[in-house]
Amino acid sequence: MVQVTDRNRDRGRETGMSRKSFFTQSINPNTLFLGTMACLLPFLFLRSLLFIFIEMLLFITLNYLKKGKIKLLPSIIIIVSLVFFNLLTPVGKVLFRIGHFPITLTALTIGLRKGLILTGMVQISKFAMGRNLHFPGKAGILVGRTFACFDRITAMKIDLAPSQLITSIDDALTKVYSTMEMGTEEHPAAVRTTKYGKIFLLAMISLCWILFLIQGINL
Amino acid sequence: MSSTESRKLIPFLAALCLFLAAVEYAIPKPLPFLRLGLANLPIIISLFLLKPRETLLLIFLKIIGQGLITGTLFSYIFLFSASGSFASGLAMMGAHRLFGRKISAIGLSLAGAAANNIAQLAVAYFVLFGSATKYIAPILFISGGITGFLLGLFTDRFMERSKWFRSLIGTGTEEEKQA
Amino acid sequence: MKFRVKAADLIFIILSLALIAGSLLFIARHGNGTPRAIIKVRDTEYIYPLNMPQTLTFHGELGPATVIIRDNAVFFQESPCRDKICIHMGEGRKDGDFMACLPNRIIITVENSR
Repeated sequence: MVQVTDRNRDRGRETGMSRKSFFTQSINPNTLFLGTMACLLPFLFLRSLLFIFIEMLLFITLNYLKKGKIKLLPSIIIIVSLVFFNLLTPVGKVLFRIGHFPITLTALTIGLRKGLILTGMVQISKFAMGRNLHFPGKAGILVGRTFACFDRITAMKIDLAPSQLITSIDDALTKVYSTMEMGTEEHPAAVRTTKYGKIFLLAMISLCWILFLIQGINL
Repeated sequence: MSSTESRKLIPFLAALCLFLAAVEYAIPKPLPFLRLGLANLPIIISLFLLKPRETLLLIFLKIIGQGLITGTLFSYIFLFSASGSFASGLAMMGAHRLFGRKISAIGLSLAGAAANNIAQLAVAYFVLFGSATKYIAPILFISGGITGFLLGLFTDRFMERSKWFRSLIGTGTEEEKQA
Repeated sequence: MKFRVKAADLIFIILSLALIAGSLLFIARHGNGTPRAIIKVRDTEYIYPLNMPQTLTFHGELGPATVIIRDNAVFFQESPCRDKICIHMGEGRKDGDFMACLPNRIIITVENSR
């Protein structure tokens, strides 16, 4: 009988939410979030495919450093499928033909651009998210409670045998629900941004904006 | 249902959505964008337990929660999943409101799956694939129809068998599900 | 397994089937796609769908020629050739339409995709 729980708990560890890295230890989560968001805007307006690719690689590296491991396969699949589907509508210079079907340059560029920008966006937004991100106000409390429940549900053991499935799910739900705490959750003391953290953020933001501004000069 | 109870239930169901989404992520699929829609189960259940406004809040929590967990909150992918979840949530709410007792979890789930696919195809058309989107449509609708039906069936049985569910229904709700 | 299908469920079952059938039919009817212009400049080919207006410049044997795609049609606007026959060939819109600037070695044909 397979246990759903262990896999999910491991996944929780895998996402590296609780992993200690330079970024999680030296930068306040809210600051990291705001700082990284400041990079998103110039990224979206990049024109050169090369720059997009470089910045995407940059954030993949940052995420790898932050989390210790990274899953690139989904991103690769996304890029490949975007290129594939965009190639289906041929536009531009014909590079070669597969059988009768033309593979065109402009369509390829469009597909690549969409794929790389999408992947870059995802990497940037992943880098921005950290544990203990405080959401202001009532929404914040709700979100906080949701995640608290989520942690507890994920820790439950569920019997996957079909005849017992509903019962075991039912029991797990009852258990978590009945012991749900409604008080205001204590936030662990937020990490304060160190000098090196600030230097890093500044460097990251500057780099992103420089890449963006260079384009205006070079074209 | 008292407001204290619903304040407890809403984040709980949202957490359940996230958990089911995580489970679904773990299941290997032939094509990555074919969703099982497991995360819709708590929403269907909520239609029988909560007020419409509360279900709407639940949907928002689910969307934001998924964005936070996958880390894709600020990307086109989020636009994709958010529009799907939002559309399917609204469709299920609408169908429930419109048909009341005459529709079971099966119909609700199918409505949600259809709306989800339509919304996602629309986003795909405008943002990602352009005219090549039409080739994906049949696959999405077929898998959506099948998984929607199966999920509805499962939800139906769950609501019938779950003691937890029955205990909450008994606290006095807008609609009573017939046992 | 007992099936407890209710009346309104059927509506959505039918709807789901209709979506499947509809999307398949849509592909069957529109699989041909919009017409596109195949522009051959010496030995290189370029493809442009006619529903995306744009102004293009191609460098043929004699020099640059301007080709315009507008209102779902394609035509030569300027050409470095002497007689400008290509410009007088007018515009192409549907499968089989054809314009050529032989001195400059630029040939435009219109075809339906697939």
